[in-house]
Amino acid sequence: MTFADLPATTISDTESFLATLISEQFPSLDLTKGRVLYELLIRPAAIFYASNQTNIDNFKNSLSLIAAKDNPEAIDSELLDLVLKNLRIERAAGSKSTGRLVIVLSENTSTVIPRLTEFTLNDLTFYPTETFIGVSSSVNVTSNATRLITARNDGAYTFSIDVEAADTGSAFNIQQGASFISSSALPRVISIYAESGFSGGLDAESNTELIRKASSTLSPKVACTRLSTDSFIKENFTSVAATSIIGCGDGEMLRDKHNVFGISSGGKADVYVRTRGLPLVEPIIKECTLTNKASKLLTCGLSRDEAAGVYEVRAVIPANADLTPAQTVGLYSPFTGSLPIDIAVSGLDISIDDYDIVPDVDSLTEGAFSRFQTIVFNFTDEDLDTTNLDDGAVVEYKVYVLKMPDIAAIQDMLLDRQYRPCGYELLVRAPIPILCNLSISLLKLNSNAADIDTESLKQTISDRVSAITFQAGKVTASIIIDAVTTILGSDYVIETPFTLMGKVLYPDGTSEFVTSSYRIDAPDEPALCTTNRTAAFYLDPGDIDISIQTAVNRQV
Amino acid sequence: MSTSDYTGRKVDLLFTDGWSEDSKFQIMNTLDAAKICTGVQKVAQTFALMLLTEVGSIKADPEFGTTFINDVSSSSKSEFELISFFDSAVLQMRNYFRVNPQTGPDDERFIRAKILSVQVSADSIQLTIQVDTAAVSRSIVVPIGVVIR
Repeated sequence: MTFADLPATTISDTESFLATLISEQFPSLDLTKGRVLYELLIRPAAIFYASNQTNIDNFKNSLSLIAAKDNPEAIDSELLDLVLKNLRIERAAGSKSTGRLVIVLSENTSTVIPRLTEFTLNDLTFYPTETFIGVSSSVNVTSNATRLITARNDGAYTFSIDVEAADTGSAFNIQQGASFISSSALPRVISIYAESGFSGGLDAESNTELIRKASSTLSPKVACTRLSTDSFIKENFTSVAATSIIGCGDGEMLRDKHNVFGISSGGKADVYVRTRGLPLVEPIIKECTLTNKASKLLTCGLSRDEAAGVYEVRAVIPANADLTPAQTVGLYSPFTGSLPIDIAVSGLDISIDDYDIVPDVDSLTEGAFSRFQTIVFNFTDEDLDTTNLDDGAVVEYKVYVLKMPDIAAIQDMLLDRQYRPCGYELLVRAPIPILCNLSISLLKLNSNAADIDTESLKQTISDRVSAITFQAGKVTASIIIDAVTTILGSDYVIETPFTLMGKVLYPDGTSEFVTSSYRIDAPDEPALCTTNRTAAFYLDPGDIDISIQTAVNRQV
Repeated sequence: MSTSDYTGRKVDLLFTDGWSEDSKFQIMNTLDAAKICTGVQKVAQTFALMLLTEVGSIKADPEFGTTFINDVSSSSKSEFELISFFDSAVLQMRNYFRVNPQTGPDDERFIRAKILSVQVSADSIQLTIQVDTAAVSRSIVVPIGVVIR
């Protein structure tokens, strides 16, 4: 608490208190406003006294979580940390986002990216984790810092570098394909973009968030009740945004009806975990099998380690090719530039292998988007030179998958004999995805008004939709209007209705499109494990279209 | 010369002993020990404090003070301007006391003030002011350090 933070009323009340107090002791002193005693003694003393008293009150409140709840941000953070440490609750420190950038070159020539090169996206800055050198021959790849330059099929060349955010925060978890600029001119570099979605960036917890966490985490950190399971997961995976747990008696619980009577027998729970606001697009280099030389048909299989938490295969391209940022905008529409994918089939692999128990899963509806999911798909590569290849030959391709990360790790933790409940088993799944698309129109009321930052506006809307809870289960026009109103100010208005679309990817492999001008609800399909309790809305900034028109007004 | 009975009066801290024979005082503290005052001297001190306090600078009482110092700093310091700024400041003080009524005997309540003389030197302005209470008047000399443009 600084002097500047003290409310004026607190100071004036303290002035009155001190003047009264001193007058009682020294009735002959003139302690009215304007007198030297008042102006030069009471007023400064009141500021000091009010500051001390406020700090004492805050200290007392810090010792009581019930009192601290009333005004969490006024509480001294260090004191609150000390009190909560007694309860083994610690403030999550912020962490820096990391990821990989693709450096696109005009020539296949060795290129140095110095350690202190700044890569910026809007006001977000990233630095290479070390000095990287792109080299044109694999012979020269001698360490992690030397990266092989590969030719793209459009005549350009690329290599990738690892970067880390300059600061902590979730704002640095940028999406795949985002374009960057560098602080210094890098020779031959024609563009820079994110190879995959960045991850790991976390905001430091505020007092409000910490006290909210304390309320939930004061329950034992074990997988038992919904509250304690949520605490247990968040304790170990700090990036987890939300969980929803389906158990005995819930309509979406299908697995505990595996008996001759088809009745709910308990002993099983499905844990839907949203590990980040938006799913990640991740490229994987895969060896694919040529299955029909004549038609140049290939097959690719993703194991349960690779397909854990995967929603769909977004694209497949030759391993030495790259998709440009323009080809990978948004999540709602397919990526452009992909080889044609004929069939993609999800399956399940519940072999016991390293586990001593695996969840009882019968169908894809029960197990899709989980750690036990597998994916097989066929695709055709007309440009593949099959002269020296026979059926069964293996060729490397780059496969882009859309996934919710950490699903496998969370599942493995909950299956660990030490941690798993003694009386039932837990299946971890990524939320049922509803990929959204939004078109809005803004009306510029004043033609002289400053241009609005539409990229920032899109990010704000995306963040707000990502914050919709499992309980709410719907995206409404009011949420979007509320998100943008403060940014628009008085020079812009949002026109309604607008177009809101969603694509639901059901776990059985089917999909459904929903559209509305005012609200999209999560489907209520418990037989498909899809309700507001299991579904999550994803609105990528790239899936938001904002058009601006200027109002034509006569002079008043 | 009239006399006043100061028995039972509330006292204030005397922050200057710059009394002169013609019942003026200067804001020039040479006190070597705390002294107290009462009567019209309290009003003169209050007037000097308010005149030299920038209005809005006291968070708990943003109406206390005047715009005088600010006005003078940004002006050409002509005598006409100084008198105008001073009159405006006196009006602000009277408005303040209308909202925050003064208490005490007649010679401790501010009524009005006027400039008796102005001296502008290289780096300061010296105002001789007459402060009137409901009972008596007092002249004070207020030096203001300024940068002359």
